[in-house]
Amino acid sequence: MIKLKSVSKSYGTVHALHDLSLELTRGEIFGYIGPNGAGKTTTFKILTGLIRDYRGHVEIDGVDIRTPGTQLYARVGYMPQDAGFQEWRTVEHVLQTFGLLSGLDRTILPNAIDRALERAGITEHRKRRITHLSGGTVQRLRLAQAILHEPDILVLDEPLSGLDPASRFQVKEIVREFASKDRLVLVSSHILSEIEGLATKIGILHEGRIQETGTPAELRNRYQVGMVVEVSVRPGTEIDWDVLGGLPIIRVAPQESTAARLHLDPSIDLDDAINLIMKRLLANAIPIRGIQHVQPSLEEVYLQFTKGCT
Amino acid sequence: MTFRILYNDELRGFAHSKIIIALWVGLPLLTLLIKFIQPDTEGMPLLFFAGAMVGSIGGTLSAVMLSTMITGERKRHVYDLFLTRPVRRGTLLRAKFFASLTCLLVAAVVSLGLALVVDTVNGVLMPGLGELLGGFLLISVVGLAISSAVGILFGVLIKSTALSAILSLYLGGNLLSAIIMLPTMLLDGQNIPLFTGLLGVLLPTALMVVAVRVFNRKSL
Repeated sequence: MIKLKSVSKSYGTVHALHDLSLELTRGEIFGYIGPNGAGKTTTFKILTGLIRDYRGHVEIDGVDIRTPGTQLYARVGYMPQDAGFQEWRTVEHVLQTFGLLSGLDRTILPNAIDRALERAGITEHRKRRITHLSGGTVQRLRLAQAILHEPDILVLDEPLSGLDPASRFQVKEIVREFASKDRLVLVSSHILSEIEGLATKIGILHEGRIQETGTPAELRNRYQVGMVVEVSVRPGTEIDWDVLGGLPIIRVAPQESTAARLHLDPSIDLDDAINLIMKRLLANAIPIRGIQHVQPSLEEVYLQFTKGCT
Repeated sequence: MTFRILYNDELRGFAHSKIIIALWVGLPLLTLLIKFIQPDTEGMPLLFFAGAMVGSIGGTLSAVMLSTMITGERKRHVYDLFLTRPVRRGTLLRAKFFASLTCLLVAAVVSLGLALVVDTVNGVLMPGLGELLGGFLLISVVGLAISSAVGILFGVLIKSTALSAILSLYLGGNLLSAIIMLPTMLLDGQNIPLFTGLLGVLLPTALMVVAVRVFNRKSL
């Protein structure tokens, strides 16, 4: 559905994107992950036509998005990270204008506005002026204008930032609903855990280059960033994790007073490691409550590429 | 269709603008104030003063209003949501230009109309008044069109709101007065309206073409 071939974009001497290639299809929720300044917004602005002076080729359903007079943009809904609204407008008026500009007929516009307001959870604000809205409500209005015309492609730039937990849940539900109707949704974030359970495909972007793409499971399997074992002991036990010193453990990450995640040396066999840990704990009379292998999180895969940048 | 949507939209926006409201109310009020402060105009019609005021105050304010508005809206990424739809950048600017011009013309017509009423009541009428009124309206329209186009060009060219305001104040106001008077200074009486009209079409068109080209090249 969307193809980016060798796309590059520079701002003066700063290279925002280097030779970026991506292929996305309908029904996917593409999680676009990278630290601030990695090039996520630049990619989205290219996709939505806001940036035209880039090198490379971008097409939607086989049509170059730079084709003069293209109506492709009517099929895209874009929720920018920081776009403002003219202050004299009310919420309803914002949606009326953008609905008409997106090609919605005046006869169906009122219903489309009602639906978008309801989905974004801002129906009670419909008559309010932009200047009287909170930051979170403005964020949800950005979402409402993006979904108003039921686009085939929904591009959401950091949609969860600045939202309370209930609103985050609502946004995620909208994203899932869109993707379930055989549409493509692109969601960016610099916090992987925000969209780890949401995205069906993930692209990790760092310093303008795509480092890796794949499904969450593929990325986890491809990048076993060290095995992790979680150990818990009987509540009330005072434990000094130094007792595990000398074992093939790279790092001990205490979770609470009676549990810890042990990041193992990747060169050692998992079962051998568990055996050694158990023996050491028992030898120190530590009452083990549980011990289990933990799948490394995508956060660790991400951190490996971004080296701790945020 | 897109132009009509944007034009109506901008009209609605300008109707909420304090500057436009000030012009709609302020210019006619100033016209009356001149009559009140200086009742003896030595036979000169109030229409003359009203025409000069519309050209200078209206022109300057429109240039400053448009340039600061566009600079501010660019900064706040207001246009992102318009331009991710099938909207041409040029249409966005043209809608702004014609909407502001419409609002300014309302202020000009109200102001000149009021001056005409006062002149009629006071009996300060002279032969060829219709021609005079037409001349003032033409100069007002030309002045407002040029200043609006100057404001739009500065709005897309300049990033700083303060700089944009200062330049528009200077070029949109002072130099504009000189440009409008060019046909009067260089030509004989019969050709003045024609060349003023031509100036009013060609100069704003040229300025708008440059503004659209600049805007088309900008990454938002």
